[in-house]
Amino acid sequence: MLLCKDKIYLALNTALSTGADFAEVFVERTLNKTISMISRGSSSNIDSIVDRTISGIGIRAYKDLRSAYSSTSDFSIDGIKRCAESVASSISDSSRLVSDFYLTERVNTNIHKIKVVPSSVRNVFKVDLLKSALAAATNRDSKITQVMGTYLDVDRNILVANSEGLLTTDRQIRVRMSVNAVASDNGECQTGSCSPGRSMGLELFDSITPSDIGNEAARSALVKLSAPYCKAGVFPVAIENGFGGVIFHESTGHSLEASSVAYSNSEFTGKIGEKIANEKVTAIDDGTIANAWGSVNIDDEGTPTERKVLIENGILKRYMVDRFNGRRMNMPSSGSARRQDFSFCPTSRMTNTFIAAGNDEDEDIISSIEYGIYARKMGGGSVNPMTGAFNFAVDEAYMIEKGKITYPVRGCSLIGKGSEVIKNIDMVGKHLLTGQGMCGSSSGSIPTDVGQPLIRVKSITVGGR
Amino acid sequence: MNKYHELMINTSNICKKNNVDDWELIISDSVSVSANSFKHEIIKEASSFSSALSIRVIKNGKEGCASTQLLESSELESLIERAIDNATLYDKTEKPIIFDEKVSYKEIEKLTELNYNLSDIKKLALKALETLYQKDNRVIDGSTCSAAYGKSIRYFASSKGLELIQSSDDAYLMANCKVSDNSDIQNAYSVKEGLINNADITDSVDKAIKQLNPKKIESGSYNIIFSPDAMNQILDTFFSVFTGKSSAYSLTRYKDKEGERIASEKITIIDDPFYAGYRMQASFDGDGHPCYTKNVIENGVLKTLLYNLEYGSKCGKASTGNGYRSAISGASGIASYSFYIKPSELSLEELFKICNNGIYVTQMKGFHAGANAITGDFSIESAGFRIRDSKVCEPINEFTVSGNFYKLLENVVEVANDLEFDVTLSSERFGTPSVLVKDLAVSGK
Repeated sequence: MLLCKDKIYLALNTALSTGADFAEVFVERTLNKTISMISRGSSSNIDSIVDRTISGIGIRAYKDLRSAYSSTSDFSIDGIKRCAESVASSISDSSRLVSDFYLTERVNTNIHKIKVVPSSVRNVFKVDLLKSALAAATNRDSKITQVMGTYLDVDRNILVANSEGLLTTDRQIRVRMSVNAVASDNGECQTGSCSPGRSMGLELFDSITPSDIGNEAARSALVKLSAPYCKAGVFPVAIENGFGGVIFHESTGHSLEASSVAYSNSEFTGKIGEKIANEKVTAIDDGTIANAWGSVNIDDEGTPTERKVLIENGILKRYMVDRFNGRRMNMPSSGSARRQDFSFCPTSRMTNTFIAAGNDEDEDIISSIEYGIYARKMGGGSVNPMTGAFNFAVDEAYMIEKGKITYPVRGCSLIGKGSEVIKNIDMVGKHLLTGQGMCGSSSGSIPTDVGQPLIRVKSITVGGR
Repeated sequence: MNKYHELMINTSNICKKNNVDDWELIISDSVSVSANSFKHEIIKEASSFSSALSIRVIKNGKEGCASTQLLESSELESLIERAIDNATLYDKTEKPIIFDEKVSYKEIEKLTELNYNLSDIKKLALKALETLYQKDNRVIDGSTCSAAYGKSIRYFASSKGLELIQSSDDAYLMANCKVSDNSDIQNAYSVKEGLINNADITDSVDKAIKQLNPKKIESGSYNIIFSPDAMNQILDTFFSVFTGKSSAYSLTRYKDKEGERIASEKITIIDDPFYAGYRMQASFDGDGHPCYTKNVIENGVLKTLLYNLEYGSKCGKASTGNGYRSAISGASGIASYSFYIKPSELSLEELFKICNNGIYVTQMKGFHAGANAITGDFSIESAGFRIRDSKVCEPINEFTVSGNFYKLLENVVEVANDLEFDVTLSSERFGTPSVLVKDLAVSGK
């Protein structure tokens, strides 16, 4: 147990002592190992090793629509009392409201089987994995002048207890490798990257080999070396599957989170049941996909995650809701509360969010575009949910001319307004694929999957030169 | 100090027992409070009591690190074992360096502690929100204000007998103001730091109202004035090109360019750990090395990159006192202090006159995705105003500004006198005045 029951009761009862109607304790102990390497030519070195224990307690209380949160890394009785008293003094409304409760432990079904627990594997093995990824990238072409690689493993143990009597725990293990290759020629340089990750152990590298990762990063850097800058303007754009799904994540996903919707700070507040997207668009947030990067058995409030159809054939069906913001919206939690670590108060966030497969053939999508852009690999992006204005970078883009993909271009970005772009997704392919990212928001940086099949956006502003 | 000194003595003893040759210990301890107001109420409030400890060991010519947030002597033993285990992987040809000079450290300016408690912070967040509503009836619900106060202690000790400690505190007040005129909704931010009792954040109301009903702009090449907000983000994004680490790995075009002209003569960039009045000044860096003020670029000429001990040694240079090590993660690198473009004496209005016809960019978004610090390229979603006949005209949005950071510094025409820093509540921050740059690609309608 991450914290003994006496201390859990102490924390909850202290937090409830001044009239809160709900209290919660979140305890975390996470082991995080990051190994970074750099290779130039035939030599490679470890650049850094980060070996970190994240350890602390977060205590929260609600009174109606108010919330107070306090966190500490001090596990002593005095430390926990100080933290809980800080929450109680914030609520400071009346005498205790909540009657005595008894904590009953709930064991969750683990849907993410882990074969090789990273902390049980010697560091030297992890370094060897990284070395083979770097070597694959370096050996692909003499124009690859430098390769940087990072191996990451996270072993996150959490405990959630609350004044409704819930006591539950979860162990969340993740592994990721990220390779960034630099290609140089005639004083010009370009970069390419590949960063797969899963909620699994070292067995990740049985299905995705380190050399696949290195090769893909190098290929993407080389393609852009001789590419001219992308032309600016308003064009149709075909966005490839996998990380292409970041378009939905940024343009619409964030605006469907209760943290925006509950405060009327989203374009989509009050629009359940309304048509907000093209009828070809069905979008899902699913935290239950076995071993997916954004999956968790339970969210950071202890609620089991679920599969939520957010938009069905263009009609808005659901939001992503956490317990606190759900109060303001009169909606139950959808298992969407997440946080980077104990020092952050949780809020509604995405897990694995994707546009579902449609019925269009990939060839038809490309051939339908007379003049436009094929976005093979997307970079990240961001959105202002208040106005819906979003942007994202295209990491690897090509021109489409007369229905054919012709040549690569660089420096391409896409901008627009969320509520408009999802109406403009008018073709959806059949082959769904996901990509991994880290999503940053008010409760910190969390792992999320984005995904989609190849889609066509009939018109969008393309930033270039 | 006693608690930290005790941990230091324990560290020293455990290291001795494990035949560690040298060690460094960094501890951070912080307390913070914050509150958010919405619809005339405080809806969220938070406090945090956070500690962290990082150990670097050098054994048999190899170094390793480990860190934890459990500040207990019982944790030290396993932490040092982990650091020693990590050291076995050390494969660099250079020997690890530990700071071993007898030097004096400049004293930092003594500022009165702000000492806000949670109750003060809640009142300030509430009062600030009311000032937004009072300023203009187009301010609507959805506007939020937040206030926060934090104080922190940084402790550094090493086997070379160094034992340094520094404390600081800071507060900020921030508004995210949402306005509507029934045909459009816009929002804008304002943030003030330091003594925030009477801080005025209602400029966010003016900014948001001015942005209502924006127009689209034709794609093309424009002269652009970046506001301090926008330019600070550019400087922050491309900061790594000024570091010795990027130079050591040939990831900056400024490698071996010290003494050469690399930017417009209008550009002078200063890195100042002792910026007068700033609450997060620093007298020692993450290596225990003393900090000092330096010109990075002077009238367009690169004077120095920024180095810590490791990358200074790799590049054949002395440390510039810019070493960074996180007590929370143990991660090390190179960081700036108050890193800013020196302002001129020109007013913003005079800058508009020089620009005559162009764009005044006040908001930029998405640098984490739309900029590449290795190539210098960027393509960023922007919003702002059209400049015609030296005057600020209609608001514009949904356009991207694309360019290359290295070229941008070369193409600076003038800088104004309105220097502003971003608010980070840390010793590392960026500051610029408004900057006029010629010929940037804009993608609009």
